[in-house]
Parts: sequence; C-alpha cells; structure tokens
Amino acid sequence: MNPITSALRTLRRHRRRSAAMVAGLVAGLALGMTLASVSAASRRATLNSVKNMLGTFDTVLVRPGGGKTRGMVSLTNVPPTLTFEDADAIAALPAIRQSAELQNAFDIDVQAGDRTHAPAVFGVSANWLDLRGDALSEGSFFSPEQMRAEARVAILGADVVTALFPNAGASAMGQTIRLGTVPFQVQGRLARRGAGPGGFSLDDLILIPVTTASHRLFNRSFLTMVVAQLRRPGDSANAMAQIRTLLRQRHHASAAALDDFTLTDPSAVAAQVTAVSSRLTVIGRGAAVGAIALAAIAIVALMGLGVSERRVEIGLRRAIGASRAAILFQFLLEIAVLSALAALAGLALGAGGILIAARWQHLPPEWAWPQSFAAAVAAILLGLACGLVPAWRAAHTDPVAALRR
Amino acid sequence: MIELEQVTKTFVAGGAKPVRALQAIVLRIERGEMVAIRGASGSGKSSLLNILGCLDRPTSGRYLFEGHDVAGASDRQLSRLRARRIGFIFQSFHLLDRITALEQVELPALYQGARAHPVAPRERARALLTRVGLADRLRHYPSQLSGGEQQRVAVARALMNDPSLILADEPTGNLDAAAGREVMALLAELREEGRTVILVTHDDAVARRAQRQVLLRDGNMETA
Ligand SMILES: Nc1ncnc2c1ncn2[C@@H]1O[C@H](COP(=O)(O)OP(=O)(O)OP(=O)(O)O)[C@@H](O)[C@H]1O
Ligand SMILES: [Mg+2]
Repeated sequence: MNPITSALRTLRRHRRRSAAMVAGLVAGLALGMTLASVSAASRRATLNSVKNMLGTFDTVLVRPGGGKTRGMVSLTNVPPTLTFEDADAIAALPAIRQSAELQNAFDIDVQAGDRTHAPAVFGVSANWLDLRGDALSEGSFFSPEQMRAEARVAILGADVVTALFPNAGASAMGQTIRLGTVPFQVQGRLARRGAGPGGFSLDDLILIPVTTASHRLFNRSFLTMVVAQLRRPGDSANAMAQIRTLLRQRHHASAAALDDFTLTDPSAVAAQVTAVSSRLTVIGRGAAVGAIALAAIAIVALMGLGVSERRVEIGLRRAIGASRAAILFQFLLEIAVLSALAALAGLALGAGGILIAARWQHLPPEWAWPQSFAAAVAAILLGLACGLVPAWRAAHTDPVAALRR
Repeated sequence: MIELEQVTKTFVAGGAKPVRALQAIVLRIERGEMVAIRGASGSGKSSLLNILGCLDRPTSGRYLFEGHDVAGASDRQLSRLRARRIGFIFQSFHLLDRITALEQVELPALYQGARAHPVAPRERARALLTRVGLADRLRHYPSQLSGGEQQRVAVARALMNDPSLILADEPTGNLDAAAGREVMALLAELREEGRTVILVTHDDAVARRAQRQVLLRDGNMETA
C-alpha cells in the first residue's frame, strides 16, 4: 500500500465527512467559474449588440436637444435644432473623418400589395453604409445622383423583406412599396445584423435617401442624428470637445446657456451597460468566496475531529516507526488528495455550469481555463493551509497516551 | 543489548500532582533473553515498556539500546529505531479498522525507509501470516477475526521489520487460555530465533515461560 492509495482509502472510509469538508471548495470553484463565464459572455454579448447597433465604436453620436432624451429619437420627439449645415460643419472638423446624416421615424405604415408593416424608416446620407460597415446582401446603395435627385428608392432590412414579401420565390427587388402614400422602388436588401441591446431586432428597418426623406416624406429640414466618425480611433474626448465648441458657436449659445444638443460616446455607453452585469458578478463572487470560506472552516473543524477520532491509529503508526514528520506528511497528503479531488470536481461542475448557463443565456460559452486552473490550484493550496493545524496536532499526539486502552 | 541506568519517569498532567511512574530503574537485558515484567496495576510496567520501545523518553537516567543513547535521540532517530529494530504487541491488538490482515502486516513497511528489501512487502506479509497460521485469513478484516487470530495478526505485524526486540504489553490479557497459549508459543519461537522478548503479564503460567522476571512495585524494581 503506497501513501496515496492509503490516503484514498482513508478518505473513502470517511467519505461523508470528506465530502462535507470540501463541499464548499467544490461549490465555490464551480460557482466562481460559472459566474465568471456568465458575466464574460453577457459582457461580450452586450458589446456585440451595441456594436451591432452602431456598426463601430469610433464615432460620436450628435443628437438634437439638451436633455437626456431616452430611447430611440424620432422626428416627432426631437427639437428642430440640428441641421444639414451642422452636419457638414462637423464633417469639416480636424478630428472628424466624415459625418453621416440621419432622419428617422417609427410611425409610418409601409405597404406592399395587400401587406402592411411598420418598420423604422431611416433617411440616411450616401456614406451611411461605409461609415457603419454594413453590407447589402442584394442590390446597390444610393448613388450621389440619386441623393441629389431625391430619388424614391428604398433598401429593406431583412425583417421587412420577410414581412412584406413572404414568398421566398418572389424577389423584392424592383418592387414598389408605399411609405405612407409615397411610392418607393426597392433597390437593395441589407445583410442581416442580428439583435441590438435589449434583444430587439436591428433588421426591422427601411433605408431611404435622407434628401428624399427630408423633402418628399417627412417635410422636415432638421436631423434626428449626426454620426461623426473619428479620424483617429479612441480620440472621442477631443472630438467631442471640438463638436461642442462648433455647435455652441453655430447655435449662438450664450456662455450661460446649456447645450441644445447631446453628444454620446458609444464606448462609454457600452461600458455603462456592461457595468450592470458586473454588479451581478460582484454578488456572485461574494457567494463563491463565502462557500470557500465555509470550506476553510469545515476543513479545520472536521479534520480536527478526524484527528481526535484517529488517535489510536496515530499511536499505532508511531509505534511501528512513524516519526512525527511522517504523521504530519500523512495528514497533509490526505487533505491534499482530498482538495485535489475537490478541485477536479469543481472544475467539472463548473464546466457543466458554464454549458448550462450558456444554453440558458443563448450565448456561446466563455471558457477561461487558465484562470479556472489557477483557481483550482488555489483551492488545493487553501485546503493544505487549513489542514496544517489539524495535521500538526496529529503529529504531536502523544503515542503513549493514545495507545493506553 | 539493553542497559537502563537510574531511569525515572515522571508524568506531569496539567495542574495535578506529578506521578512518579518509574524511580531509579537499573536493568540489563542481553540479546535473546525473554524477560517478564510483573507488578500490580499502576506499578509502572507499561511506562517501562514504552521507554524500552523508544516510544517514550526517560525523565532522567540513561538508556542504551544497541549502543544508541535513547534519552538524547531525536524523534526521527527514535522513530527509525522503532521502524527497524523493535516490534510492539498490545493487549488490545490495535489493528486498524477496515483494512485486511494482509494490509495490517504490510503497514510497517511504510516506515522502514529506503532500506532495500529483496522481497516485496506484500509477499513478506503473506509469509508472516502463513507463519502465524493465518494463511487462509489474508483478506479478513479485524471484525471478522477472533481475538486470538487478531493477536496473531499483530504478532505478524510486529515481525514485519524483522526486529531484534519484541515488546508485548499483556499480549494474552484479552485472550482465553487456548489462544493465549498459541500466542505464547509464538513468542517463545521468536526468542529461539535469537530475538529479545520482553513482555508484561499478570499470569504466572505466562511469566514462567520467561527466563527472568522483573517485579515492579510503585515504580521501583525488585528482581525476583
Ligand atoms: N500519560 C500519563 N499521564 C499521567 N499519568 C500516567 C500516564 N501514563 C501512566 N501514568 C501513571 O503512571 C503510573 C504507571 O502507569 P502504567 O501504565 O505504567 O502502569 P501499569 O503497571 O502498566 O498498570 P496496568 O497493569 O494497569 O497496565 C500510573 O499511576 C498511571 O496512572
Ligand atoms: Mg499497563
């Protein structure tokens, strides 16, 4: 019998107590692993959805109105302060590469044949696609000539195609649809973008030239948003300062007046959204730490109990030649083997937890094996540290007293 | 082989009055002797045996075991002596729960160190159990063995390290007459092999099998 099999047999003999000793280690490790994965996955998903919505983080969003307008802006709920000329002036700023103009509305019925649908309608400038990094799955985007001519042409998002042209065989291309009462010809289809923050679809929209929108559909000369692309990524603070100075000047704001526009840094928004999920992580981490602390107490207490119960065994082993060091080693080996088994169980359970959570979150699982293994090693070391006092007590059990009947 | 000079042992249990279990013991035991230690309960027999077995140190005096000064030896050195030179047998056997007879006997091999032995521990254990007449009890647990069989397992265990000194504290104390005789026969065999056997007993018949008897009274020695 070698020391390790001997330790394994001792653990098996006291399997309930052994399990109670390290249950906290297993739970803490598994919980920690799962939570880390859940929060990493949701953080990544949030970033992805924000990125999906904006196309890129290297922009500054300029919206009319000074107050914090919540939710999606629309032509009916924003002040008419942001103009096409403002957009041109922003594009000319040194920190800005280009700017895209946007007029949007959500309350327009769209008709094709006898089908109606109410998607978001976006009037956009010719550089929209390029700036967002979006692609068409079919057709072509608005040409400068079409922009100038205020052409009645439309690009459909994937959901709109499904809603208005459900027959897979019949292509939407070249068909006529009505926005309100104005007829438009379909000239393209957007590649699917997926879900935005909160899970709503980013494919339920129709793009039309912003010039057409302004003069033939909405009859409004102001914009709902200007998307300004940074010349250098990460330069948003500088760019926002330039835009603020420019717009205050153009809008003749007195020194005391508040801004009549709102600037948004998308990466800051993303950071804010992910901060919510990280608060959950803090709570989870607390639970994991609590479980591990419980394990530490359980190991010290139950292993101490085991040492008391095994006095005769200790005395006998001393009589047949075990030194104090050998007894110390034996008990430390036992707790090391037990902690290692617990760490393995924790890793396995954690992996299972990650898979279940991923399925439940509908997100791909986030593995972090190096961190998980580091945590497992830490759990083993913690087990050893907690076992030190009981093991020392075992080693200093007086064999003579232990062996008296 | 064994030399005790003015050995005393005093137990100091916290708060209570110190107990002088042994007082000025002077004893010489030659290799191959069989010595019986007798005396009333509490006279210090077990205390003496524990010191002889290097499981305990004298409070004062000198103990030479095969030339080693035990009083001044470290825990590691004493443990090595127990592991390689000494075999213990106890009144209540002290077999470990839920391991087989074979594994009980193998156990001391764990502590014998790097000393290469040509025969594997398992084989030696099997041979020893065969020798004590338990060849058909190898896989039995203590709970499945009679008292006499358990004590014979303990004898085999004590022989695992091929010791020169066998110490037995009332080895027949928990056995009936027949089982006691079997164990005594084994101890006598061991002495004939040249091992030193020291045993504590209350039983006249057992004591008579020894060449020498040491009588203890209140920690003092009276050679009979
Ligand atoms: N660890 C100890 N702490 C305190 N006192 C002890 C200890 N061990 C033994 N004694 C005391 O020392 C004295 C001798 O004890 P010992 O066990 O050597 O007697 P014994 O002759 O073996 O008795 P018995 O025949 O009952 O086994 C007794 O009074 C006992 O109470
Ligand atoms: Mg005694």
